[in-house]
Amino acid sequence: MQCPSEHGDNAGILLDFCARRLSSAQTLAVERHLLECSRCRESMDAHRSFWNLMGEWQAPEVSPDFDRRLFDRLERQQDRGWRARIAGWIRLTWKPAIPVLLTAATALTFILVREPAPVPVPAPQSAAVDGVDLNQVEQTLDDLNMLHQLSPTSSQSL
Amino acid sequence: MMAVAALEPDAELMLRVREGDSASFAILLERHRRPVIHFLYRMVQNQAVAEELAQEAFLRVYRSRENYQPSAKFTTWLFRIATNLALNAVRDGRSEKRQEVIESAGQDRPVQVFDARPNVEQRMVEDARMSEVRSAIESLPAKQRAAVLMHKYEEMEYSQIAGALECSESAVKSLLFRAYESLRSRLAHLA
Repeated sequence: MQCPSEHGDNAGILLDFCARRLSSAQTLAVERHLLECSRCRESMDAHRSFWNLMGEWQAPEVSPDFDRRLFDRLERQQDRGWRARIAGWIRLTWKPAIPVLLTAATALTFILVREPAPVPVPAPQSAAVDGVDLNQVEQTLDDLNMLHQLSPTSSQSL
Repeated sequence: MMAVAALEPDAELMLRVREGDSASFAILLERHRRPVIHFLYRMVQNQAVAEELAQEAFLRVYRSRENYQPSAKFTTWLFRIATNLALNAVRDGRSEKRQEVIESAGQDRPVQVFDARPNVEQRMVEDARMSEVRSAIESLPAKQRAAVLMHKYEEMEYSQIAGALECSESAVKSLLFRAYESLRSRLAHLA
């Protein structure tokens, strides 16, 4: 085995040895080398101390309600999924619908706002007789009066 | 006759989730909740933020269920999601130190002693040591930090770390070598 202290490429093997990541054969080879190489033994001691120190850092325990909060979020997401699908459908259809809606709104506004056309109203029947008719009536009355005066019955009375 | 490669157990569970089996998702959550949260905690050093990011990671797993393909180990995929969330959080400055961390022993700081037993001083010394370890890890570039945490604390293989960081195995080894050199140099007085 190449000495890790002399061959930088092999330096990681000491770390892997510390982390117990080596195969049985590799572990045996490192152990044999450490018996012969003081530099690597010192390096290994430093690695081990450092590795143990790192291992002292413990993470806090997980909150007891972590799963409940996660499933609550999943449920809300599924509800939002339905609403999102409806909103997506509306987004797909609202743009083409704009011109149609605008046209309809314009037509409706036009119908409601414009002044109604004047409705032709027949001229009212006037109580006054026009002049021509009045004269004729008067003439007729005069004629009738004259005839009455000229009738035989009326002359006998004279 | 074509040989069918055996799927890892987590991948099989995830395929069941894809088919609508929510109980399988609960099993995956039970298996991986703790390592994901611990990884995220050490990345951002804030438990509340870590749990929020972990929830987002599992939500993304669930949302992706219909398109899931077992092309990599489930853990690799899960930690890729978690790592990306953590890197974004670190970049956005969402990591915060815990308020109750005791500063290094050299600073004058009034400390209320609630217990006269001798182990209080030991706890203070231990807390100071851990504070230095946390600071040293926090000082690493984000990708080196993620590689160290996955390698040291989650005991992931180089190939898994490479998958999570979306880089080669040799790049992972290089990241780890630089990170550990930096940490050993900074923490030599404590080891």
